[in-house]
Amino acid sequence: MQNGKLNFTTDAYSAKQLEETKKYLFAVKVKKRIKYLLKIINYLLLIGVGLFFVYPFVWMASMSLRPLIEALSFDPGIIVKDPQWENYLYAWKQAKIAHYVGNSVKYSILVIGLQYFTIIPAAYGFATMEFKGKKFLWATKYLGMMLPAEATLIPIYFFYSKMGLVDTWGGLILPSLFSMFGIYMFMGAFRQIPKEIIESAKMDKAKNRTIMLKIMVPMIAPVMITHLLVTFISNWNEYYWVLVMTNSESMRTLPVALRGLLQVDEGVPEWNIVMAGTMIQLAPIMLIYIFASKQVKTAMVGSSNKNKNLKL
Amino acid sequence: MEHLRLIGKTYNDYCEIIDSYKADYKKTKAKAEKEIIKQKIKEKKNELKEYRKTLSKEEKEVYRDYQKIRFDIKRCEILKKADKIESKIFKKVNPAYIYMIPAAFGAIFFTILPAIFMVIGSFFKVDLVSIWESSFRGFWNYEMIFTRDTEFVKAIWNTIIFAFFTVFLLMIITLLMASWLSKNTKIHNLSQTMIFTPHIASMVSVSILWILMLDPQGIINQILSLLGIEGPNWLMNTKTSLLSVGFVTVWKSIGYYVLIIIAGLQSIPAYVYEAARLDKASKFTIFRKITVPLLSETLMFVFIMKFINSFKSFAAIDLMTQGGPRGSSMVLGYWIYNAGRVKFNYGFAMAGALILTIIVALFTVLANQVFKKKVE
Repeated sequence: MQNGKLNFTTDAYSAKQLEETKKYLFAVKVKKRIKYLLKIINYLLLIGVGLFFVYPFVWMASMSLRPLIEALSFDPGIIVKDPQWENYLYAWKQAKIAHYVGNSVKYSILVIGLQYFTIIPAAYGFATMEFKGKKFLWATKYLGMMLPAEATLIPIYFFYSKMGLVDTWGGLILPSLFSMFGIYMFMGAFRQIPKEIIESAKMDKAKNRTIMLKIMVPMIAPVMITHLLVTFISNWNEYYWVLVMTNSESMRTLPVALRGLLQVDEGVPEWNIVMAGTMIQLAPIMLIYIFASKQVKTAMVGSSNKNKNLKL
Repeated sequence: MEHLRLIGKTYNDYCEIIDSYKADYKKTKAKAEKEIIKQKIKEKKNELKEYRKTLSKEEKEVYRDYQKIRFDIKRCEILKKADKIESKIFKKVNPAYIYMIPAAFGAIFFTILPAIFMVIGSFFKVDLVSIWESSFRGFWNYEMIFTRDTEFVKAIWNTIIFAFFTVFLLMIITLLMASWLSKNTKIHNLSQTMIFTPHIASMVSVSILWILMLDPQGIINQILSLLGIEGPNWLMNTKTSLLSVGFVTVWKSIGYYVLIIIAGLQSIPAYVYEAARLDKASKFTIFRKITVPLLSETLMFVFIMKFINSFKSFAAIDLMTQGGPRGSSMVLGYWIYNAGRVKFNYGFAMAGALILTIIVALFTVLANQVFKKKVE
């Protein structure tokens, strides 16, 4: 504004500046492209890492459909030219997988059906009642955590053999009925229910039994579904306990039976049949996982995450 | 209406007579009289049946209604009686005890008793047939397994190596992967889902799968030969057998722990990161100075869980190597199973189990202490 004159001249439109702007815009464009490319590479890497965990199972499915000679070459390819569905039939009938599937189903159903009769009252007691010895009972959680299953196995097997519980369904499902995992999970859920509801029910002279069954259990239905999923998966996969507590073939469940398929007297096991058996073992869980992957993930991760800080 | 009411009246009359007979039946003690009353009840019941047969279809429905009402009244009476007994019991005993029976039974039978029996049994030469003939031997069991059993000392070292190898491998991989995967896009979620797959598969199927993959002609060695390396026979080599099994267990559980850490990561408030970015902290500094300390609680949980679980890696060892070759992959858990369940040497097995318990307890307490200091 000197001398009453406005100076409007800028060098924004000078040839030099225009070129620089052009360069700058080009650099931004390139940067954007690179970023985009990196994003795609990142995504491809993500899928690649994911495949590293899924590919073996897919390969297993393809192995189970190959004829024996082809299977023994361990070809890493997935596509099978001439799928042999008879492998499954052979495994189902000749290798007696049908019998073991029946046992596995029986075991899971017995545990899932009976466990709530013991777990829910115990969880309710822990969550809402006061009594002598509560702290002591709670402290056994930590003892149970520190005691590895391998260590308690021998004493429990000894008790079982003295009580005639080895090789019986009762003995097989007994520890699952008192699983601390379930008790803590339901206890955490019961705690979440506002105390006012319980108190108002008590004002109406509702008994503990009615409060538990008619008020609290319906409120924690989602937790129950989670628990159902987790216990089904863990029972279906249970290996160690069943292996130790059964002697006879007639009681063994599918995972233990698969071990028997591996042990042959001479030469190599028939890998295609073994794979078919393993696929049958995997199938129900994988089906659940494919159709409800989100629920399974949150069930398995969430349950352990919530339980870690539970205090009396 | 009137004749319908009459049906109810006759029905109730019959029932009351039968009930009174039944009460008499309970009171009398002579056998002959009892027989007579029994006959009378039968007669009345037959009369009732014949009366019912004479009714028309519509009347039968009414009859059924009356029957239902009577049944309900009876049921209520029984419930009342049960309630009275219940309240009598609960006045003396805290009702909590009845609710706690299952939990207490589980704790006693599956935790406390085995623990006590394990400690006591490790000092005895346990007789299988008649337990009362077992003889006290002091530290004889321990002496034997430490000096005579060639595999036991090896098993202890293998257990500790196995635990440290798997835990540290897992911690590094999962921490890096979790911070990489912790985003909420579709691809990230898909990747998480895929990584989680082995965790829900059974250890048995995963082991069988990896027996094939680690075969001398298996996929792993095929890939290695493409790179010009001749891979060893992973599971049958004394140097690689333990680490191979460790790798498989890590592979199985990566997805699970990654998801746990991601859950922990997503609970860290976003403003912390924004503040750090305003201060122009580099990505690595953010990771080191913010993510890891704020995650320490989750990390401790993962660490301890994996540590304890790594001592329980029974299924993988049993299926893949069975402790072999020459005891190179023998861990304590498998050794105990072998001594107790296969060789039926209870004393040895319990001594080994006690040592395993002590190791697990020691490491758990130590890890707790270390992490507590870090958190503070």
